[in-house]
Amino acid sequence: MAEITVRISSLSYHYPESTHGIEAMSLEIPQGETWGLIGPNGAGKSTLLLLLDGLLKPASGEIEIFGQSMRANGSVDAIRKRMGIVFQNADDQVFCPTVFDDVVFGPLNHGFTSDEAHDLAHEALSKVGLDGYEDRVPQHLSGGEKRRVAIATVLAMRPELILYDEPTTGLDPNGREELIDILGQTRCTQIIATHDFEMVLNVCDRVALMSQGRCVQTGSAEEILFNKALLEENDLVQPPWLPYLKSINGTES
Amino acid sequence: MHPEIDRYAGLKSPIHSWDCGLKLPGFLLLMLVIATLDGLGTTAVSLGLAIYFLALSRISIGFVFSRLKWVLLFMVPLFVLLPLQYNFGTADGGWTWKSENLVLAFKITLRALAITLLIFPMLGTAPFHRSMKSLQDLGVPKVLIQTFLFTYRYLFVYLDQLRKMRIAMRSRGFQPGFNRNSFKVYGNMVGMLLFTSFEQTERLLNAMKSRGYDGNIRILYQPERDPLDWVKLMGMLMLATILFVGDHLWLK
Repeated sequence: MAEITVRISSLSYHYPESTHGIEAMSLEIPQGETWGLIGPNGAGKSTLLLLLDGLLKPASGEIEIFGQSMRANGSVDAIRKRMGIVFQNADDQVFCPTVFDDVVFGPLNHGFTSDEAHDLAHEALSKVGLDGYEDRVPQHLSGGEKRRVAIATVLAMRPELILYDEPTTGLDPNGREELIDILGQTRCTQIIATHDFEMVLNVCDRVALMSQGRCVQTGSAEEILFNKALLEENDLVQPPWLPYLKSINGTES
Repeated sequence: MHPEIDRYAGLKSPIHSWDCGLKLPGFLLLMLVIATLDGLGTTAVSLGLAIYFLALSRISIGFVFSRLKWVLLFMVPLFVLLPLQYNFGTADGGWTWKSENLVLAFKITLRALAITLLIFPMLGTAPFHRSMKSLQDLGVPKVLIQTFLFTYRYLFVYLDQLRKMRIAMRSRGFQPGFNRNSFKVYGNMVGMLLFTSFEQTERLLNAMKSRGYDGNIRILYQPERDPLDWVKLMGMLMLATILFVGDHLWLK
């Protein structure tokens, strides 16, 4: 049986003056799997990612990543060295004067030598198809290119776990396709919070359906996304093309 | 290099080739001495030196003067405020004009101009993040460096945001004018800009923390100091000493 990379037990978090948050959520994500987190706005998907990255502190419950509790002293820094997060808005993630400076930022902060950081940055840029973009100014790139830079900044840290918050939002069809290819080729545990059902079908091994801060159901992408009643119960709408896909390909996406 | 922030960092000059770790202390020392000068002659010489260094750095004079006008604007009131004095507690009272204070205003202006001019060759001749790294290595508090770094870098992002907000306002029929309604709208716009900036800063900090940022600047830069860099530092030290000693002799 695969080792568990992320173990969440009875996790709760509440924002001050807000009804949104996480309510007694439990979930286990095995090593090497790609999970999709789906749910309506306010379901707690982004909050869960921030909690997993240690950027928010749980009110109660436990998060274990790579077998280490996030409550233990110094564990957050140690865990962060092995994971990365791609935020919803790429402008919040790319902040250095050039693309290369941005991609090399993580490796340098995580203690790689200058030479190693240099190589890792080039390798990451190559993986996302941005060779030759090293000296470009991130703010002047297109939305899709910025998103790919944001992913490169994370890939350069050689993470074992990557969290993505709405990675396809705001991308044109080409940019979206390229991004789905990158996610599909990335070999590590991935958690993707998204509304993009087509991407989930293409990329995710498993899906967790969230609603009102709880994990309502887990299952394969097909089990969850083809269950129209389940989606509607949880304020989601099944895209009209999905049933056709099922009838054409069976349960194959 | 950022095309706006590091506009002149890619030129070639004796100041560009001077290693940042030695250039910054050299210029800072000279600026410190200029700030303490009292003699009109030595202050004028310091302005001459600043102009010389500026010319040496090959930074565009037009670019410098477009920035310098704000310093001059700030200095103009001194020529009125310093000579104009109110005589408290005297029988005749009232306002008097002390012409000798005009010289004082002139000296303050010369010093301010000299120091401002020196900032351009000091910071404009190397990539900004490298200069900040050198300041960090010199022991300047991290909070101060981070403030410099993000203020300067995000200034352009916020100006862009401001431009978008103005377009959004115009698209909904807003006509800027010199009236109460316009001021109210501008007030709201600035308030919203500050609010969104604060939120973006928080998100940005999260992104940095998740990539291991702990307040220290780490960049791919290895100081490459050759003997000439040390000679240049010694030259600055000599200039600063001559100005300082000269100023004291002049006063005597």
